[in-house]
Amino acid sequence: MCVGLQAGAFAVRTEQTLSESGGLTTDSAATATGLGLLGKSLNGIRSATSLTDDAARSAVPQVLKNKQAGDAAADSIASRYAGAQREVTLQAASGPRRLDVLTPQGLAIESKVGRVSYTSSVRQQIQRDVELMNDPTSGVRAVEWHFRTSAVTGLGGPTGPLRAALNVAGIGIR
Amino acid sequence: MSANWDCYEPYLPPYRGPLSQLPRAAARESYDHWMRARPDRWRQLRRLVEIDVNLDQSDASIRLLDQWFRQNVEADDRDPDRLRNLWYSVVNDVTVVLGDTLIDRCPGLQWEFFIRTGARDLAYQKHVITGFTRVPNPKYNLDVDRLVATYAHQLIEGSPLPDTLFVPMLSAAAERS
Repeated sequence: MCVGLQAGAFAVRTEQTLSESGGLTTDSAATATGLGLLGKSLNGIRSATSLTDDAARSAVPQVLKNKQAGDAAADSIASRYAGAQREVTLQAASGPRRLDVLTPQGLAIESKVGRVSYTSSVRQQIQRDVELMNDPTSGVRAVEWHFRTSAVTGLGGPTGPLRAALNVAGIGIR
Repeated sequence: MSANWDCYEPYLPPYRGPLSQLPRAAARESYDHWMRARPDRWRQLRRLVEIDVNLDQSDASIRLLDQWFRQNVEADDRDPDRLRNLWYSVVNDVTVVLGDTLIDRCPGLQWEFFIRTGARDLAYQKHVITGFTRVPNPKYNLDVDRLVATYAHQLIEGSPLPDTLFVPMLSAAAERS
């Protein structure tokens, strides 16, 4: 709970930072600059969560720990791309696709922590990613899936079937 | 191809900051302002490109606009990941031209102040085109502004791109109307 509250507090600060960004000519401009500030705030989230002690961690349900680890991984990825947006939803023709990271150049990144199998939900994510890449009205030029080893299980990366499916789909694996 | 900046007046929205972050009333006011500004934005872009492009709604003209955009778009001197500030206004103007052209070609489409989803949606509180009937997703929309801005960022980054974007984008969208 302690970790969850801290993350929530920093999320509020992130919103405030975004709304304070201004001085730009259009919404696109504001988005680009505002997201630069977002990157700085996200660094703040990482610092805050790294301060939590083991006792606090043990009180947090595993599902929240997993979410926290996943968010930290995605934040880390986003910080490498200037102006990248975090956790945004894009309405594809077939349905919505939530993107962990979207860069201003149209690179969409899915962040995964731990060993990931080729499940039905993952299959649907891949199908929608392919749709976005092939759609000139999506603004998505390429899709990459970034994998990280789980600190809990010590496992990471795609299973064989998932790796094959990503390769066939033309989705980059990092 | 060159840009005639001498007479160009950039678009100035009534509020600063991302539309998704504005209070609803301010975002709505921004939308109304933007809608009213469209005729002037056509005029501004016409003047800007007039040396190379006779701007109208034909595919030939849109293709020339695409070429002009590709050859002229500039990065910010101090921050090469961003566009030079004036170019965000040009992105806005190209959005008006492409969007109006699509709507005139497809009578079922219209500009919409998009509030069908939440703030995490890329189109939230933005001016997007809706009315597409040949897609299963009822919330599907065309955020021309985002597409043109993404295109501009790809160009200044030097990303590998197809020869043209605007006409194929309009064609793909029209097929879904």
